[in-house]
Amino acid sequence: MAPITCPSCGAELTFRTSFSVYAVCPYCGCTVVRRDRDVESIGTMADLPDEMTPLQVGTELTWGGERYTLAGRVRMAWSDGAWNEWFMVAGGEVAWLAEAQGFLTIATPVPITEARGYGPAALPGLDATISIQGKTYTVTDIKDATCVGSEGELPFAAPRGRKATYYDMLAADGGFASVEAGSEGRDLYIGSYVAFDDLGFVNLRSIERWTPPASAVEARDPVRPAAT
Amino acid sequence: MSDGSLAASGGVPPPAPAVPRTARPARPRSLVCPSCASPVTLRAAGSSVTAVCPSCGAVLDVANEDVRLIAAAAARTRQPLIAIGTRGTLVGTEWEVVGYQQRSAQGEQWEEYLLFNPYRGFRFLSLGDGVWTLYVMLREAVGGPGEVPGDPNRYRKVSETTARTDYVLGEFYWRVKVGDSVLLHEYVSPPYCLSEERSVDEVTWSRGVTLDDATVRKAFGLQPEAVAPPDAATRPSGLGRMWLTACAALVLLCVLAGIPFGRDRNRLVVAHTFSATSADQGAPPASEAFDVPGRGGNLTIEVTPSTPIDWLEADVALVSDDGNRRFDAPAPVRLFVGHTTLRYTFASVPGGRYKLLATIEWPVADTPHVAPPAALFHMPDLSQYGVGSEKAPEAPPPPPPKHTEIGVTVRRHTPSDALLGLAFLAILAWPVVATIGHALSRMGRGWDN
Repeated sequence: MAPITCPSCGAELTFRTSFSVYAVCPYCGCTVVRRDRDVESIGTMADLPDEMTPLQVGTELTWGGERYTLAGRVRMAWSDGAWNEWFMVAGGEVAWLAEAQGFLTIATPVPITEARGYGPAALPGLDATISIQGKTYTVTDIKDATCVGSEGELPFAAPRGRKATYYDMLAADGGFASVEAGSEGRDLYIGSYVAFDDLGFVNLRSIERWTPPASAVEARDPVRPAAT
Repeated sequence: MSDGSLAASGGVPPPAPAVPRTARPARPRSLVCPSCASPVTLRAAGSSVTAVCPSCGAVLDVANEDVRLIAAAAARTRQPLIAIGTRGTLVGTEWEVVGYQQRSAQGEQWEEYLLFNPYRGFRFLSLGDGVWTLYVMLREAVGGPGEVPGDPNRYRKVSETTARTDYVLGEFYWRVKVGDSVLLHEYVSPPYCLSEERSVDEVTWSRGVTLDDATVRKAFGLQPEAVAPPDAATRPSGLGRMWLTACAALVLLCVLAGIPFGRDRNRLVVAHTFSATSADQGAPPASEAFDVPGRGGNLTIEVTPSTPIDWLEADVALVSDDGNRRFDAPAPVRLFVGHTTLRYTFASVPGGRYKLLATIEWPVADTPHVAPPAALFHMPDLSQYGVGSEKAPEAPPPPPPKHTEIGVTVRRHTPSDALLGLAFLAILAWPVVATIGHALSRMGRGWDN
């Protein structure tokens, strides 16, 4: 993919995947939307406040036999908290790693027509049961959320203030599904809860005064690359 | 015109800085309390929604970048047994205490510590009745105590109460409020337990495992026992007199406690040994009939297995010989590892002739559905407890005997340990408070960083 120059600071922006249409310049915070041959600036993104998360853009993990890289993040806030949605890519595969209150889920987009139990116009209510690809899910949580920040590259423009309603569903076997309903339509994701130690993380962000578990390879220090 | 034309128009962009803005280690977030302007550290920043200012006790909304005051300081902050910010390693994972709650239900009070590890998330460590339990929240859809995915244990319900939050300190990933109530159901299958908390808009299930007191105290660097009163030589005379008076009152209390009921005090009414095999479990054996003379009084039932076993649980009831009166212990009385006798006192039993019924359960070798404590290290879901793979599994305990003798005794006019204990506490409360106050005033506010 041809390198693109940040219209604000001139830094080189590379898109890891053709799914991405939006990026936040890691140097100056300029937010850009990809057009045919170049990019258009749509604003700037302020730094997100400190978070005690070991995940960062560039972190790699193994899931479903594929080696994924975290390409970008949307931080969503609702009335009682916030969570991170990490956009992960592996060649032609994309998935979302959600990080909330120390729990991780990985989900992949599936056509909304796979969900039975509610019509094309209706949205599920709390405790509704929905059948997706033969598995029964129960709606356990409905949240109105607003984007409070984004970084890296994403398959949609995620400026601050972008709103969506999330319908979280659980299955008895630990399966997880979510419908995201926003101004651009409804998207269905299915996946499951995952354990940190099962993902073989590499290039985690280091955290002051904490040691990563043995399952994760020591974080590469982004300030002093391997060359020095 | 958009900024996008800048590069295309040939303008020279400023040189890119060498380092992306986020390329530095993550660290706790520092805030300034909007109430007292003292620093507040968010140890689980990114997850925390509510935080209590360690200096003034104000409750803060920290969900967003702009910190808002939810409740002004209500009371001076108290020091929990394990201070906020303390680190400790439990079953192979290092945890930091980030939150502390005092909760109560029907007069029983317990403490809950919120533990955080940025790689492993959150756990709850509760201390109630001298028993430590480490809980992890379950993320599977749980249908009920018998429908926990991947959990073969058979849980039995032991309580259904309304639990209230009485006091909070530190930070929490939910909106915590003093006075909040939830419906709390508890189920046990020792050493595991399940807790189901229902609020208006949420049901959460957690699985817990009891931990050894010494293990927890060692992990968090606590004193093995209660702190001894300070050395008399370093105390001013006022405190010294206070302690002397308290000691004299304690001696008097012990003497007085021995006087009532004369020779009937703690008198053995009946002793019975149930010789039982695993096949007898659940069948309620009855004792021989016995008399409670005069106006009656309290009766204490003691259940003692002949050989040490991991746990024992008994439903005990007194039934009058004519079948007209029945007294049930409100919940099964439980015995855990490390104790040898299980005890329950019926506070007031009128005179008459009674039989004792006792339905007793204990671990049996040929029904492996009850996991012994060491099985914690073999459970498929052990990662939920943060068990590191480097931890060597402990040797399983010897299988419990198939044949067990269980002695049951009934005594009357037993002294009330609880009342005596309360009297002890009442006498000791003031000198202890005064001594701690004195020590704190010398240390200043040294404990919160």
